[in-house]
Amino acid sequence: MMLCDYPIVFVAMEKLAEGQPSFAITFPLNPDSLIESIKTVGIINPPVVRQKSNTDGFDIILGLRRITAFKALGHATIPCRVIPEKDLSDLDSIMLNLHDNLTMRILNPIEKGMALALLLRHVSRQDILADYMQLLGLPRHEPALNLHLSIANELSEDIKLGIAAERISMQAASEMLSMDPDTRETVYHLITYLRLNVNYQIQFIELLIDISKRDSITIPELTRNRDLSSLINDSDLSRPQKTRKVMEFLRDIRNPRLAQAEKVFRKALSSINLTDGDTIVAPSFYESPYRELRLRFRTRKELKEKLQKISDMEGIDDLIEPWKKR
Amino acid sequence: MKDYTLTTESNKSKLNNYFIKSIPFKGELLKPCPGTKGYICCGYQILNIGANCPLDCSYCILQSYFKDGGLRVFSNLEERIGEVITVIESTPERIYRIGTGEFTDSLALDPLTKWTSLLIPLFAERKNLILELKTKTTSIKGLIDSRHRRGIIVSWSLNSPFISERDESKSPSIKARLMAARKCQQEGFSLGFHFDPLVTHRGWQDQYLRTLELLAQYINPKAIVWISMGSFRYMPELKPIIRKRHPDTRILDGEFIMGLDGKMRYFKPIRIELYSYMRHHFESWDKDLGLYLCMESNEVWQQSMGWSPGKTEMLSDYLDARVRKFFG
Repeated sequence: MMLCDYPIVFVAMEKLAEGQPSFAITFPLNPDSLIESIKTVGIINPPVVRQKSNTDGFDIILGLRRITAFKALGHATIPCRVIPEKDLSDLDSIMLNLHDNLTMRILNPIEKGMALALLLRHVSRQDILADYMQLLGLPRHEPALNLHLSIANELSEDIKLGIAAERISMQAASEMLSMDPDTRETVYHLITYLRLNVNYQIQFIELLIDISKRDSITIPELTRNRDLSSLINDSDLSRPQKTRKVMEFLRDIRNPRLAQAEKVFRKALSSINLTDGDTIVAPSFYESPYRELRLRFRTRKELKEKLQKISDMEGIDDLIEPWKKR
Repeated sequence: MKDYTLTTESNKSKLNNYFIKSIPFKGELLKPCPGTKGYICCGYQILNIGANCPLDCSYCILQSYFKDGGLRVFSNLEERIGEVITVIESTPERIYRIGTGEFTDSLALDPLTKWTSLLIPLFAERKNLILELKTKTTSIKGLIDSRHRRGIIVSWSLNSPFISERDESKSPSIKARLMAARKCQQEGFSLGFHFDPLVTHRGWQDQYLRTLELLAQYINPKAIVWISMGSFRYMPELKPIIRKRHPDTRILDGEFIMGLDGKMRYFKPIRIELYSYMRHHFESWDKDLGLYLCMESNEVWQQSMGWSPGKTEMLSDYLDARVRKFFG
């Protein structure tokens, strides 16, 4: 039988196993937008439910959001397409739900993890890798499977919401899985508070891990550092300024000698007081032995004078080897 | 050649079992060390005899090359070694410094594979070739049993006791390595030592001094062809692997920057400090140790060693001269 051949029946809300949404893969389940729509035009597509053979209850196969919204509007019954349990196995139910969702939208990573967890109850890991990963738009390898299962099962609701809303990147989420729950929450709240982009999220987490390992302190302890806290809570700074300063602060703690050299270089550059847009540029991390001099000049005489003046300047050695000045 | 199971005993008396796959090697058997952009290389030749290593040091690059962790030995080495000999014989004016310790430990698998009994008779006694066997093990029986000495350099990788205990935990202790080195020296072999990677850690100066004191206690400096130094460096993709596989390591604590070759390495003044310190103590022991830096810049050479070969060819010449001095 086709799905459309099954009858639409008004089902009592209390008969729907809403507390056990065994086939739902919608996350978050936010029904607010649907409530308005249902209020205006009613239910366009009735949910699909499976009638249990040994009780008078029903499993929700498709339409958990619609049912939740309908219930929130105070309805005691809801029109549903009802399929008897003997006609629809658990795996069929999952596939029906999955295909219904995949035709309408792109699943977020949490939903993909939920779908994989559901499938894993009925299908071997090998079959999931071979047949289902690609269906979900995922690479066919174990690390991707494990990552999606872990983010769906192990992270808090808050963090999952962050991932679903793309406030937290998958790479950051993967790093957070190796943290204890307290640390995860701390990191999550800082990332979302500072609104770090994908690149900054990874750098931020890496800096926190490096410093906490090196100094044998926990990440929550590190984030309670007085100077760092005052930067985070400084109401005079805009969010981008705050982000930049927090990242600089962590980099300086992580690499104190490089930070000191950069400070000496900046000070020396400002002390030699170049004009006309002339400047001296340091190589990345001072690794190359060369410094770059950018000069503007109009005549040979001017070039000669500028070169002479710059090479005679007192602070020039601090520009060449800034790490030597303690 | 068959597959093996190797059981090794680490310095903590843990038994480690490894399955070793024997496979034919299809690539070039002898290849120059690829070096690295922007730094001076020693101009070494790598002889591929196997891949991966049972010692599993925390800092080892092989973790990112061979992610399955399996050990491989090459079953067609005996058939193909003639190719290498042909190359060497075709350029008699050139000195070949050949090592087998790039993608595996030169001696760790020797009790099973008997590589030394194949390679030493073929390579020893040739005028334009030295074979350097780099190891952290004490597996020297195959060497000692050989009747050849000329053209063979047995080298040990050394580190501070702190790093050795924590990050080379499946390797014999520094003392055990040096006792094996002394035995080789007594048996007439020339020696090399490699302090690579040098790692900054709390009290690193005292820790490295302890190793240098042991070195002086066990080894006569006159038999040392060369001692190399290289500071810890890694490809960025190795870091998460190290963090995952060796969560308690301190080797990532230092100040790293991205070098000219894209690898992470210590901020330049830290490297200069490491090498200068080591050089000072080496030279107060003996002035003629053939000290050199592995993959370092001209500037770091100058500031830490007081001279620089300037480029790879010149470092090669310097090391070739060491070979001539020891083997004529």
